[in-house]
Amino acid sequence: MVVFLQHIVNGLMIGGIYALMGIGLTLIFGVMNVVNFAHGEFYMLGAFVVYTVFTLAGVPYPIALIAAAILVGLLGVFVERFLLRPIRHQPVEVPMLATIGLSIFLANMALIIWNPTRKDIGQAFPLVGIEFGPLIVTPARLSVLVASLLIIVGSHWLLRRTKLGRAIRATFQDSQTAALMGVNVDFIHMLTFGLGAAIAALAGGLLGPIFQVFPSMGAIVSAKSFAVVIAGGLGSFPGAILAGLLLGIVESLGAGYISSGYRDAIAFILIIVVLIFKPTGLMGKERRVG
Amino acid sequence: MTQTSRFSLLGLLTLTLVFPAIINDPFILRLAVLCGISILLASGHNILMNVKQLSLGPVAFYGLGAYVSAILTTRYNTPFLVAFFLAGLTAMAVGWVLGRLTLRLRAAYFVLVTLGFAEFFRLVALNWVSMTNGPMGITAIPPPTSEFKGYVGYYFFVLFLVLIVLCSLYRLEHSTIGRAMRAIRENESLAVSVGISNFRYMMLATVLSSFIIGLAGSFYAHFAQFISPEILVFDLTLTIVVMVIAGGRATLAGPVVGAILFTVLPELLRVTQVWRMAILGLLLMLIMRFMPDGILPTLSHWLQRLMVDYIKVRRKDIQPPTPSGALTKPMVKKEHRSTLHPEISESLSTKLAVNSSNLFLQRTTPHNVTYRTNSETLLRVNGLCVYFGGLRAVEEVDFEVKAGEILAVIGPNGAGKTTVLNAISRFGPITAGEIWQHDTLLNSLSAHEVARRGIVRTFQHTKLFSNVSTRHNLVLAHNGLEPEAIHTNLFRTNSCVQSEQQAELVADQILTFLTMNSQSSLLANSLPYGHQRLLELGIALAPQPTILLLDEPAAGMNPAEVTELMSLIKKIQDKGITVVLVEHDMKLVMGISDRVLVLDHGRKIAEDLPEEIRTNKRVIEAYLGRRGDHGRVC
Repeated sequence: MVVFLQHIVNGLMIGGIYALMGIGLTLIFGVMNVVNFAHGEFYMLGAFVVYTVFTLAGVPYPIALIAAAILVGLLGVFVERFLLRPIRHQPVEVPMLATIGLSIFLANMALIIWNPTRKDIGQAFPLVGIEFGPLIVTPARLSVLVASLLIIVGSHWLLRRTKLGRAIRATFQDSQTAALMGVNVDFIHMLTFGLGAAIAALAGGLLGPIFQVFPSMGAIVSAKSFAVVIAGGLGSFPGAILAGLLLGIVESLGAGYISSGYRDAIAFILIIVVLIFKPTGLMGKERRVG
Repeated sequence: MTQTSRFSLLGLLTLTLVFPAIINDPFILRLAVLCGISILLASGHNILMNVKQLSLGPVAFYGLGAYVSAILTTRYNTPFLVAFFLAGLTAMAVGWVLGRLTLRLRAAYFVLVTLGFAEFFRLVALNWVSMTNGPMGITAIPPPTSEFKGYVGYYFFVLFLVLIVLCSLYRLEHSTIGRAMRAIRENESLAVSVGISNFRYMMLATVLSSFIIGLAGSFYAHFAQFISPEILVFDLTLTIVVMVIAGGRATLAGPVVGAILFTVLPELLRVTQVWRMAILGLLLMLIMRFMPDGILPTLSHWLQRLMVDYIKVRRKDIQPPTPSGALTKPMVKKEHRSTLHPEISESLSTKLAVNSSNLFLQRTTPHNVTYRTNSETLLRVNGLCVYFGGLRAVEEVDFEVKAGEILAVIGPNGAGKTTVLNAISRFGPITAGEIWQHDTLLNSLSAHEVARRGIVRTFQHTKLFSNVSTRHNLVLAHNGLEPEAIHTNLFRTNSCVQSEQQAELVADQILTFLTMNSQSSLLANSLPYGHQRLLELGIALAPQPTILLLDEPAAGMNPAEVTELMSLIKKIQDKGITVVLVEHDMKLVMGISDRVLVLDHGRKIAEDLPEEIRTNKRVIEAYLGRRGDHGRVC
């Protein structure tokens, strides 16, 4: 039972990260209709900025994390302005391929800048166990869980309670109508892509101290966050969060009780199962056709 | 095909044939074989792009083909050719199953769902050690025959495959199947509304594509003589997709160019060492940014512009280029064909001219509906209910459509008019009730089947095959009546050529009927709005309907255009076509309809002659509200 709970807690931690990635992807897909294949690379860059600023330069961890969010966010803004905006009205595969090019470019630039060896970020938190009854959680892991929850709540607040959030949601619903209502759609697109990139960078920076950091770390996270977004129902935030947490827990349990070899397969089995029983995803709604 | 392009193709073919004799460098020959495999993969994958579906699962079929072939030859000593075809067939079967599961999804949804396929297969290959040897892979796969030493044999084998595949794809592109796919690519719901089964052609595309990719996989296994789960990595999927889209999607030559470019380029970039992949990524971004249609279409577009400028300088009296400027290739091809077979075209037209002057009313399909009396019921709607969740859009509506009449369906906004139309044409759901055409229940049919039974609809918002000429719009719309078997199309049988001629004739007659002959070569989306709506009507006539369902045909038209439309609808009725008309324009409704059906809040409140409806109290109430009842809650 304790082991089971331990798996659940671990799963929630990883799941929180998946949920963060899922939120960013959902936001970008919903607002811009872009399937962002470079999302995993933003995650990787976030981890590397933290590695550079915290491990190499010795700046405190929280500041390094914020630096990662800002720098990668700015990169996202730049990419939207000069790569995605000019091809916005092309069919969906064109911007998709452009982000594939971006992801190849970023991963290989990271390879050149930071070389391919796996790096430890080092201890951002004291190595002690915090006991919750029979459960033992390290501060590092706890902070991941807390931070991802905070970011989820924060982005919810941004989208639901601010004027900017309302503009983003309006664009999400219908960008033409939003433009007619005076929303600066160009700005919203730029902001959305930057925000999505920044959240991915935070996810990378958060998980970095627990695992290792390397240039190709984005690929598998990218694939899994797609799984999360599909399973949750494309375009649904609660769906992405739920599916993210679910995937984390199922993976953790699967690795613990079945076989760690199939750990990475679970994401894809999850998609298939969800789509067979509910083709619109966990929280997806059917759209009116025509 | 013009003389010059024929010669250059012939030259290219000779070059590929003598290529191994000129260059005997094994490195280059190996690269050439890899190019061949890439061409197979890209062309195969491009078939799905023809129906506007982007799959991220081609590697699944590639790996499957490779593994099936490898396992059969190494474990069961199957002869190469048998294993080769079994590999293709297995991939095809799996493609069929996956297609059935996923092809209901569109655009980004489909893209994301197919993402998991290759990964799933890779994990199976990795973990089913007893069969696939797990991560160690399968080694010592025999060459096709013992004569295959060095690369020359492989080179010719793959060249042979590539030629067969490309020739077949060329044939298909210029056949009924190719036109149906074009129609789906241009506008899927419009294609369905004229009787083209979107699902069928998408399945066909998936099955064909997985077959070709499976064969390529089998060839690769026997070429490399070693396979491991590595061939199922996502990077290869990306490479294939890049080849197709960067080369030029939904064109024949685009993927070939893309395949060669993205096989040779990475090798050339090896000199840049660590920068290689970064440069490739950057290049991909630049291609998508500046050539979003792909390299080949963009280049040919530029070339065309250059030529036009050049000719302009040479001869000042040259005609201006078509507004497209871009690829109007299929259209040009069409015109060529009718001049290529003048004898058929002539004989057919004389034959048909005897029959009648209005060919497009002569349904050639077996379910000919014969009129006996004018009061015969063509369509019967019994207790139709359509609910969207709690919203009762249509509630217990009954009515009949008589042969030869114009029945107008009117009612305030939200009365359920379009929902009724959607239900009849099977574009929308039916919650309860029955719709009968003679003795056939339409409830269980799908939209394209209803269209094939002669019930064709138009849409409230103009739908056209936008990037196609006006005339070709009509040819595409006739497609649902043409032979669709793959072998008939591949071998261009007589019936195929004849039906093609007939489609051309129908298109011309409809153009005359609409008095749009002068616009026949203009692109549909360059037409003025009024003409677009006319063309839409023409598209609905092309599949030779017996019942035409018009959804607000006059929306957005000016009074003069409405008058023109009225006489046109009358003319359609004179040709014996029954018309059901959903409309707001009262002048039009009262002017031409024989009977009027009034809906309000999903219920039928009146069904009568137009004069009676004018004075019907309930109808007036529905439109204007009851006297002294301003705040009526809707």
